[in-house]
Amino acid sequence: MRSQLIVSDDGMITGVRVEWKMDKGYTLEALDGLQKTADGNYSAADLQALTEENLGALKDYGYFVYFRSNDEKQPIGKAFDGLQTYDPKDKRLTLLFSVLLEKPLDPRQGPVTLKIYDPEFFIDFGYVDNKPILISKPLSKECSASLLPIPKDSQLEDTRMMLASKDKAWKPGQDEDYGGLFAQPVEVKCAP
Amino acid sequence: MRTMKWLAVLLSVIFFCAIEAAPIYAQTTTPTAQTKTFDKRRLMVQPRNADGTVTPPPFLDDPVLWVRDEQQNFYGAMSKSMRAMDSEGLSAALTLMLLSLGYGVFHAAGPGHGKAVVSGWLLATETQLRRGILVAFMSAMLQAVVAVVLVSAVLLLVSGAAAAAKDMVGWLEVASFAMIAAVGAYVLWGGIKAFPLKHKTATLDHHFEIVNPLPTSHSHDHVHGPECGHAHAPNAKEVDGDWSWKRAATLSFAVGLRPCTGAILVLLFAYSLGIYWAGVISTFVMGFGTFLTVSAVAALAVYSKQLAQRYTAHDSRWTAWLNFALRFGGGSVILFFAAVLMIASWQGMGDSGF
Repeated sequence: MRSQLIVSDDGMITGVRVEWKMDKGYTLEALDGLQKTADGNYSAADLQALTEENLGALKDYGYFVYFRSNDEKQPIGKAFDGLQTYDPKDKRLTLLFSVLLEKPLDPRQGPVTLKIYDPEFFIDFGYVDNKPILISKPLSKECSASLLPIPKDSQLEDTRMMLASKDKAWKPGQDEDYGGLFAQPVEVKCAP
Repeated sequence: MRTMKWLAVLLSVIFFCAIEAAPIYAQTTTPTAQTKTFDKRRLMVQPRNADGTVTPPPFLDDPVLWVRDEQQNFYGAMSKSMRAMDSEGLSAALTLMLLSLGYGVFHAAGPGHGKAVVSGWLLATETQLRRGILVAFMSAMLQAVVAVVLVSAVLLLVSGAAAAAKDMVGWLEVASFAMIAAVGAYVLWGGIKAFPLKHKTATLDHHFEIVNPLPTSHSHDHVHGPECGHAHAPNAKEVDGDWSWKRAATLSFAVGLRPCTGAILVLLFAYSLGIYWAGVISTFVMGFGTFLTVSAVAALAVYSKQLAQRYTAHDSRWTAWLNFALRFGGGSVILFFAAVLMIASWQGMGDSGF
């Protein structure tokens, strides 16, 4: 997947446009039985219907998009500009859509993070190597967006040991769920 | 009775084609293109109700998705009731056990749990259905015992149980699949020896000897007259000679050695909540649930075969070929899947889903 942060003219983060490339297995299931066009692709109408239905269901899961500002959870709105494409060469679907934050976040007021993950791990989200993070407009000079590295095995081991030492009433802080402890964050930070 | 059997055949076709194939190819060939309504199986995730449950489609519309959704709901309800049990005590414990039963029933409809092994064995060796059901029961209970023993041992030995249990599941899985492969090879070997053109008379006269070489089982004569069909629905006496607890135990062991991942999760979860006893009971109840499903599938398989044989019973050549095909085919299928699963679990040690 790829995430493009939507940035306003005054350097605020207003939302994200995501690009999710599906695996071949899901693609096969999603397109099974649909009529192929002459050039080996699928009709725009079929793909659009799939997009609409998927976005409708993803809404119940908060689109798996989690924004935080100063560690506070930030609510998001409904997805829009949904688009689905099929690449006959590698036989994979790609879903794109945008979601906006209910109120724009100013990274100069404290770091903004974005995590995209499934807390139930039914879907495995992973960033691509080539330009995983994009921005729609330049951020202010002192700010930068970066994808933090995937936790190393030793760090995961630390997390596991930390969890093992907690008692059963313990919960991750700031409304975080357990899946979030293992997700790869995008961070927008500004130099003071 | 006749219609019952037809229904059984139809259902078994649906079960075998749809459920066994789905996890491997992640697609089925339901002709949905013409229907106007949107096929929910195309979705990345299923729409969720406010309480986190998923509304499954009607069973007949899409049996695979129905099973998947129901299992998901049972799992969700189970986790919820686990958390509640901590505070609510006994009534919640009973709820958990009931839910475990339901979870077991739906869970066993997925891959694994010896449906193919028990059915294949029943079809290939002419064993009575109740024997197969007994094997299904033994393997389900063994699976529960293995899960409880494994988790208890791990909990006693180490902290951080989750990671260690995962590694051990991997090894047990490989061993279990290897044993299933051996069963498949055995059935397949019986099939090769039953090849009709080479051993035409021998096949018919030594019907049981090929698969189960017990000298005592042939002290009586087989007369293959027009009522030859009797050989395929042997009476209890014949089967008794063909049956041994040792053989049943071997098969149950092969199927049940790999503990159910769902059971391990329930046990670890129950332990972390300090209600380990409820987890142990629930594991056995869950085993009973998987037993119900495996038995139902085995019964469907046996009835389908009996039906097929009624049409071929009057022609002994057909019977010989059918006998050969079932053993050869059944053995090959068991061997093939066991080998594939063994290699897969070897490589992805402990990566199995639940």
